[in-house]
Amino acid sequence: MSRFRLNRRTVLRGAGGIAIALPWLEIMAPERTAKAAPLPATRYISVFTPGGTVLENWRPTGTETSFELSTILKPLEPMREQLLIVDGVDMKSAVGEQNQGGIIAWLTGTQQVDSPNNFASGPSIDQVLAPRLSQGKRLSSLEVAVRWGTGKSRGVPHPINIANFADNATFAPIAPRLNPVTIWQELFGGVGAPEPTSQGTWDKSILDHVGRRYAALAKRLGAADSQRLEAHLTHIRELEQRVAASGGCAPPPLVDTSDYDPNSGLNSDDVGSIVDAETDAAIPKVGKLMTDMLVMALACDLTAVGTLQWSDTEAKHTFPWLGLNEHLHFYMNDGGYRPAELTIIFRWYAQQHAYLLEQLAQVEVDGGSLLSQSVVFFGSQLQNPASHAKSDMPFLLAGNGGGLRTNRWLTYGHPSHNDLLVSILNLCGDDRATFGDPLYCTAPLARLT
Amino acid sequence: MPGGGGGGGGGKGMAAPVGTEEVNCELPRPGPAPLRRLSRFELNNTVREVFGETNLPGNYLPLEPRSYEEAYAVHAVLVEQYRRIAKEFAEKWSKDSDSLRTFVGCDPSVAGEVACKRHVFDALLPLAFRRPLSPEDVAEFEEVFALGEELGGDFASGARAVLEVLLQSPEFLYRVEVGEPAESQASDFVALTSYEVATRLSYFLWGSAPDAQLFSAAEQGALKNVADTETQARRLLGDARASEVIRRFYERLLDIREAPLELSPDIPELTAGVASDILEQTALFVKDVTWQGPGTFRALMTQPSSWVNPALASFYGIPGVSGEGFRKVDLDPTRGGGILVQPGVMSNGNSRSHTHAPRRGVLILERLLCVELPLPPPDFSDPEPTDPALLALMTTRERFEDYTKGSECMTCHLDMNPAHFAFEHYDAVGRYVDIDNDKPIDSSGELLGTDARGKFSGAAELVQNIAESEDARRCFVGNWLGFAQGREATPDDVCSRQYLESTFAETDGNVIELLVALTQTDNFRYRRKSEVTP
Repeated sequence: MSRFRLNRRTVLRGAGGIAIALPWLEIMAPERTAKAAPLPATRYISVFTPGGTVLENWRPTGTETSFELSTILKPLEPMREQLLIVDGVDMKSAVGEQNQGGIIAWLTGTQQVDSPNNFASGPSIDQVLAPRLSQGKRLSSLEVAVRWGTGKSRGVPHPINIANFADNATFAPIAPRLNPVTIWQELFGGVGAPEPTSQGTWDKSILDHVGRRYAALAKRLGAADSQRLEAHLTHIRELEQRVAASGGCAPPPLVDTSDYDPNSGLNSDDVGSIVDAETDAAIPKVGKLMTDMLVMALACDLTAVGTLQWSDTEAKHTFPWLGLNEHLHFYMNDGGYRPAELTIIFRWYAQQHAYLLEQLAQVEVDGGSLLSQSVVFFGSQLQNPASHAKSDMPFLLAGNGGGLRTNRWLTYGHPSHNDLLVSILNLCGDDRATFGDPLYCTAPLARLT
Repeated sequence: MPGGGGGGGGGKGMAAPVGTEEVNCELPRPGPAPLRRLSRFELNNTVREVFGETNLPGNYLPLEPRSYEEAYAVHAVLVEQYRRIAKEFAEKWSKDSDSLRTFVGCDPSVAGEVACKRHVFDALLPLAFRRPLSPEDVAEFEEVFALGEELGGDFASGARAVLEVLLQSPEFLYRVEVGEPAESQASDFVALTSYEVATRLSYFLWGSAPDAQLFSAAEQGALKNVADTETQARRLLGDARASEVIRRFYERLLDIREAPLELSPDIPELTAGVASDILEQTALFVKDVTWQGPGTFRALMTQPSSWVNPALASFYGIPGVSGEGFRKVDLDPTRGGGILVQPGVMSNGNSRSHTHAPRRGVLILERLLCVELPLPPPDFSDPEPTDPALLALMTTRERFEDYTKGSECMTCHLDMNPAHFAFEHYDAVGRYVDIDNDKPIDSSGELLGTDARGKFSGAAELVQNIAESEDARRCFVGNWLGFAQGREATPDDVCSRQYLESTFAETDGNVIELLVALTQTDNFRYRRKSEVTP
């Protein structure tokens, strides 16, 4: 009987109460649907770090949803809500020379052609995704690297330092861009490059003009009419503040990098005995700038696909800011396996990754942050620095694109990482069932979403 | 003929009573005219008229509540959605040369950037704002254009910025009315400008921005007198767009819902097709009764006809209908006629297979007779429930009478209940039936209040009483006046109202003549000076 009473009162009161609620329900409806079937990721980023990890200092403790980050991953604590640790996956398709086979297979799921010194036998996932995600944008993808081309690769593209391969007949290797100044100029206003539409500035200016029109007109109208416009204006001002606070698209400051030689690799030797101390010391500063430029390239909608490489697979450069004056490969095996020093280095990479994720999370785009709409894949060419083993890869995913369910530590029973690559493609709206060498494909990884 | 061409429709020289006071209607005496924002429907029509855009940006906006006041309230979601609409459509319309040609009306690669920019400023912006630009507008939009051009690096970006601001501007989203300067210090009214009258005409009769003809009439100042206004009103009424607005008036008046009838497992023969066709059926009835034949309020309330296609005919048991599409059929006049018995009205608000008798009663009392129904007292508590076994044996009427039989309820329901039951022969989906819960239906009663009061044997007699009721006609006029003003009618409408009521009486309650008359009133052509003074 009480239901009857509600109906009757609703009728009697006309629109009171209930009718206010209806439009809100209506407006919420599409969002609920979106949650039921998550939208594909709209951006994809790969991050390469050299040398694998120190597994016992990397692997979390606890359970899938209640876990403690280890020494190496600890710097990612602030971003753990957007982080998914993918543990127990093997890079089985990494067949070839120890380091070369690893970096080649990482994003392609293919083995090195007639190893050594040849490249991949398939495209990398970023290049497969680029036409889909970056359609209509200025760049189909952006590849950048910090202190790249050390050691054996001597500053030029080589199977030991390339992670991205074109989605064409030859799977041509794509060399990353190295010079932060020219990258900045090309992306954010160099000579000859069209001025990018800075979405943040645009949105702010438009709202500013709109607001001014309301303010000006409100002054000319009678009290009641004016009140209606003032109410409208209040909401415009709120929008304005949100747009301003969101950061949006704003070219990062071009810091002075004159102490950094992006082509220092050209002067290197196989064993890493030639030290460019000044350039090495500038790595943190340049790395941050590269990260900022990558994030803003996405925020400004210049591209939707990016790769950031922290060096090549050998990283035969020193780490003076960490007090480590030998190169990475020295700590991996040239100087005997040095897990303590390696842990410091890998932890530093994790810290840089946390910065990238933070920056992505701070850019608001329609319906969330850049990070919430992205898939970020963090990996290396191997797991064990000493043995170069490629089982139990130290892979991380981040972002919630495609409905990726984060803040978890997922452990698997050694599937091939090709299955993970298929999953990443699926998260980004490419629904293929295999990728790379089909020999290493079983099924997309379960439990990611 | 209404209006007569002279000094406005205020009922010149007449005195009208407000309460016990006599009001002088010699000079224009408009009622209040609050600032109105375009509705979803109006926004959709406006972008079609101004930009040739056939997609429906209004559908991005929340559904509007029935109450005028609540419909005009601004909230954050609304403003965000306006921004979203502005961004998406501005981008779409300025995407390339083709888009600029289609939506902005000028292709810079053909006509040149200078000419196209002039087109935007001289033609597009004034149409969108429904008035010429002021020097301040020009200066501001020059700035906006330059900003877009600078940030985006080309002409299209300049145009895009202008469009994005335009679509969120108050002059576009609201119907701004400042009026002409007052004729004298002493007068307490201002005449609306020709552009403002043009805008009122087009939104009232088309739910859209003025078309080129109306706009140029405004430009020539040809809307200054009631005769010119009448000419334009008749032109607009001759267009199919007017039917759409009239349909919306009745849908609002009678809560004819937008969604089709809910399917019920109790009525398997009610298919999805039938459920949605009944809306069209009511609309066709309205159109027919408005434009064909006498076009009167009486016909609206009583004409025993409907419109059916074969699916509806078979569902409602109307023989001899075959072939495609809708056709007009006669109904049995002893069962009642008019808009109220159309399934789109009768099916409304019912829960599954049971009629919602009180809801039908409320429509009659509140919407057609303008009776103010009291709310239940604040300390109202549900009566003791009746034994479910007994309830199960009752008709809908008996259950409701049982529910309201308490003396506390009957203080009001004694008056209200009779109106509830007149349509009990129409079941929850609007079919005519004789039996409810195995008992013969009793749809007789006696209406107590208003001049439609008296005994009736069922729907046929009740609608007849309403059709001839002065109270119902006054109520109808008031509802149209409110619809034209975007607010409920108030006692301050007295002069306009008096004119409308006398015209309505003179034309034997012709609805189209009432709409023309509405454009002749003080309310339509003037605003109170106090409302436009900053």
